[in-house]
Parts: sequence; C-alpha cells; structure tokens
Amino acid sequence: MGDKPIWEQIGSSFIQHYYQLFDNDRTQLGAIYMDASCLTWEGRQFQGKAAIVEKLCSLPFQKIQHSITAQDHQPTPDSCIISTVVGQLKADEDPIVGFHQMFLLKNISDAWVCTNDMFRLALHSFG
Amino acid sequence: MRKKDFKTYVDQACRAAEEFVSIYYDTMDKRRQALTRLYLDKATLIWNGNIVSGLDALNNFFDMLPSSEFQVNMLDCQPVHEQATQSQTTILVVTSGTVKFDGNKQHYFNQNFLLTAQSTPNNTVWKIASDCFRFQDWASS
Repeated sequence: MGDKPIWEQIGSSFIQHYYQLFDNDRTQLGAIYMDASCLTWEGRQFQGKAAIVEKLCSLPFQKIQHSITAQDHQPTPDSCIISTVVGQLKADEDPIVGFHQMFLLKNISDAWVCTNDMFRLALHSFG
Repeated sequence: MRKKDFKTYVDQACRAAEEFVSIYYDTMDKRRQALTRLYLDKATLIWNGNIVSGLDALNNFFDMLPSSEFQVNMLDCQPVHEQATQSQTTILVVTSGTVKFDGNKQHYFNQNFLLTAQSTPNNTVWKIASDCFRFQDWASS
C-alpha cells in the first residue's frame, strides 16, 4: 500500500467510501459533492449537490450492492484525479447488471470532493 | 470569459466531444499512425490496467496494438468546471461500445478521455490529457 502512487491511494479510498455510502445510506452522499458538481446518470445531467443527492436518493430500489471488478486512477495535469470503475451491481431482487462509473476528484480545502460523476449501466453485457 | 448559462456550456462541450470522438476512432481504425497527434505530449493512458505515459510510449503502444474495428454505441460528456482547471477549457468524455482487434474476439469496451482545448485565433483543437480504456467484460476476458 505504501508503494502505490498517491493518486491511487486517494482514488481507491474515495471509491471505497463512495460505494460504502451508496450501498448503506445514499442520503449521506452529499458530503462528497459541491455546488459546482455535475452528475450524468444514464445520460441525464444533474447540476449541484442538492440536485445530485435528490436524484440518487430517489432511485427506486430499497437494497443496492456494488461489486468492483476493476478500478483505474490517473492524475490530471492540474492535480485532480480521475477514478474509473468497472463492476456489477444488484438492486433489490433484480438480476445482476454491469456498470461503469467515472469520477473527477479535486482537492478543496484539504478534502477531496467529486466535481464530475458519470454513471452508466452495461445493459448489453448480460443479454 | 463570457458567462454562459449551464445548458449552453454543456451543449457546446457535447458537440465538441462528439466531433472529437468521431475523429478519434476513425483515426484509430484507419490511420493508426496519426493517432498520437490527438494526445498532449505528456498525456497518460491506462489500457486494461497498463500505464502508458508520454508520446514516445504512446507511439510504441499504438504501433504494436493490432488493427481495430471500433463501434461506439454511447457517449456521455461534461464540461469541467472552470475553477477545477485554472481556466483552461476542459471536457470529460465517456464512450462505450464494441471493438474487435485483429486476432482477438470482440469485446465490449468503456473509455474515458479528459480533453483540453488548445485555442488558436482561428479555431480550437482538442487534445487528450488523460485516457483510460478497459474491456467491460474484464473479469471474464
């Protein structure tokens, strides 16, 4: 763990934290976004912390579990981090489905926040 | 920079993204030797978990990669808020679809790009600062 580049450490911590919050209590996700954050969820755009949290909390499932297959982390030229996740999720009793998600993380006042978030289901993978 | 409303900002970003994506995959499939012109000198690529950093390495990598046939089925795009990029215009693009590399079976793929605008008086050229590519069916490939 100590040998990994710092952006991998930060990125993988963020990913772990994000999916833990998402799977256990989505109402707490607001802390990772800011007013300038953008979310693209299945092709629809949401701007700002409030709109994003409202969208995530309104998703129509009771139980959700994410499983990460692979994650990649890259530093950007202006010291942000791009974290990309490929995995599977299960909502309620629905069949398991693949997903892909990308986060842009920025350090603001010593905390890493998500300024850009893009999510898509991989609906073709299980046809 | 003139203030734009958010929707205009997003629409412009998405148009630029669509145009760039079309050029990128066309170049990848048909003019592979020209592909690294679309990257910044210090661009980094992670390809199925393998890090490729800088133009020399990118040139070698794409030279060795078998010929490809890409089919892009989906594209998402977001402008990056100007504060996050110290006023350099930046957009994030995510693509997915299928690809067949010569000698390999077809795969579903996902790719994301961080694009930076290089503006001249006459036009804007987008280049890749960061690129991340993975097969979707990673666990089973």
